[in-house]
Amino acid sequence: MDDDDFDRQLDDLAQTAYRVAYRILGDREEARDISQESLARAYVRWPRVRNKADAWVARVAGNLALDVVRRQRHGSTAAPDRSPDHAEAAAVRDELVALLQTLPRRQRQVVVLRYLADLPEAQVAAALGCSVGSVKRHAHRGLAALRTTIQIDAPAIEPAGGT
Amino acid sequence: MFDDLDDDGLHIDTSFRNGVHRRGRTLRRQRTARRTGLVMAPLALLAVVVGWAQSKANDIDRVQIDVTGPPPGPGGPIDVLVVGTDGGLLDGAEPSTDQARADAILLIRLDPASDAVRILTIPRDLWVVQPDGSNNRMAQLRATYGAQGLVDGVEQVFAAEGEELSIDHYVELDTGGLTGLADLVGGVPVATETAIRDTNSGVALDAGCHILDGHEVVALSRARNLELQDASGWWSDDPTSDFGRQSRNVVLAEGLARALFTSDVNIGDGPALLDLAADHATIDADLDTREIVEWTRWGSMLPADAVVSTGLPTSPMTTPGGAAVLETNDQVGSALRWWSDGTFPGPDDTIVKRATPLVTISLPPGNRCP
Repeated sequence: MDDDDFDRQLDDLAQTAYRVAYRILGDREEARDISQESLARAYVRWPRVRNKADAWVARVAGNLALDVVRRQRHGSTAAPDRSPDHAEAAAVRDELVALLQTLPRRQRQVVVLRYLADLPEAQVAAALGCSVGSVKRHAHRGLAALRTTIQIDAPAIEPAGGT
Repeated sequence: MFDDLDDDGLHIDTSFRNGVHRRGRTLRRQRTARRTGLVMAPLALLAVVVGWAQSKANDIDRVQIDVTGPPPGPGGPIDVLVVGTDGGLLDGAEPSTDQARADAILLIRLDPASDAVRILTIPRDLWVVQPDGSNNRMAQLRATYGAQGLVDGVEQVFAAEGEELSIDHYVELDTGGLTGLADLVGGVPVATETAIRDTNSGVALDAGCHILDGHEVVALSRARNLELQDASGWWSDDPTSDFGRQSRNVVLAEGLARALFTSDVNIGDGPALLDLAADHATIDADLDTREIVEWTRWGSMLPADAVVSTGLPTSPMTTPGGAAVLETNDQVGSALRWWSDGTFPGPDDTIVKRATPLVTISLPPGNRCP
């Protein structure tokens, strides 16, 4: 049964979506809403997303969170009511968001799935329909961009071949 | 790596789970409502079958695609994938219908609530993942995996952006069908700033306004080695190649659709349309004659400027094998949202109203040549 299958994975998927959204927004309520919306969208098309559900909801959550940021910047919604962050975390979050918005689309997708959703490279590759090597390349470039502005404890990644 | 940004995680309770299901059911109802919407197509390629008598219905080729949901009724917008294939080529190099590639791919949203028709053209050379996991051009999905493969490929473009698309109907025309349709509506008016030609596709137009006949529409839509003539009479290559071709096809698609509305010809009458549909069209098995009648009534009341179009934003890329293809770029999300709801979320997104400024043709004012 599709519904049973979905319900069994609901909790894990909700945490994944929440983690991505919270890391971007730092707003519990907003992240909770985004997690719920991401899960509802997955529910509607479950037969098609079930085999890559983690990556799918992470990507939807990332897109929704960045949409929230964009709407805030356009003034159509209020700024987030952030949970009390450490000042350092708040600064990292702001810089992360700014950078995510400037990364090329594929790099952004890889960074969101690999480092905000903490998905393994193989899963990211399967979700994006590309090779693990391609994921490594985009992750390498994305991390290089992140390192230019954010002090992060990032693992070293050997870029895969090619440009 | 970003653990420092985490809190203690989401507290998942019954309220949260119920909220997911409640919202999911709402989305599902909206999806069903959209699918059952009052299906009314103003568009030319759909209108091929307008006026089509029940007795003729069996003459039209049918194809089964994965369209679920109840039969059409009053409701919201509906999405139709309209495909022009290279089947039935006029030069004798005619592939079988089963192996035809998709040369023109138009995703059309018919929105009775806002009296709008939005067209998203999808380039044939878009690099996509095939069902077997390998990559290929979007055009090839039609040849290898049939109509369902192409439908799935287009839906995949949306899914990659976290957007939902469920195509409701499928209409396919071969080259002869596009030629005949353009002729039936009295030609497609386009304006060119300079003289243009493509010796491969056979198109050759002076600067100015032209009513393109069916052969010229097909030749221009296939032109990928266009030359432009400057003021001194010198011919130079159009450097935009498939980029330019895609942008021109956006204009052509919109022009053809507008021509239907402004045409003095009642395309629903006469045997020519029936013959054209029987010879050159393939439609999905769920499309019935009553729907088509309703589409026609709605479409006939729309003004020409109710039809707007854009191309899927893409950038060139080279595959590991060296093939020049296209991939979606950063603007694609905005374009998909525009296509879905007709709104632009912010000033940065206005660029997607036209896929690219590279067009060398345009639609004349009022869709008529002076």
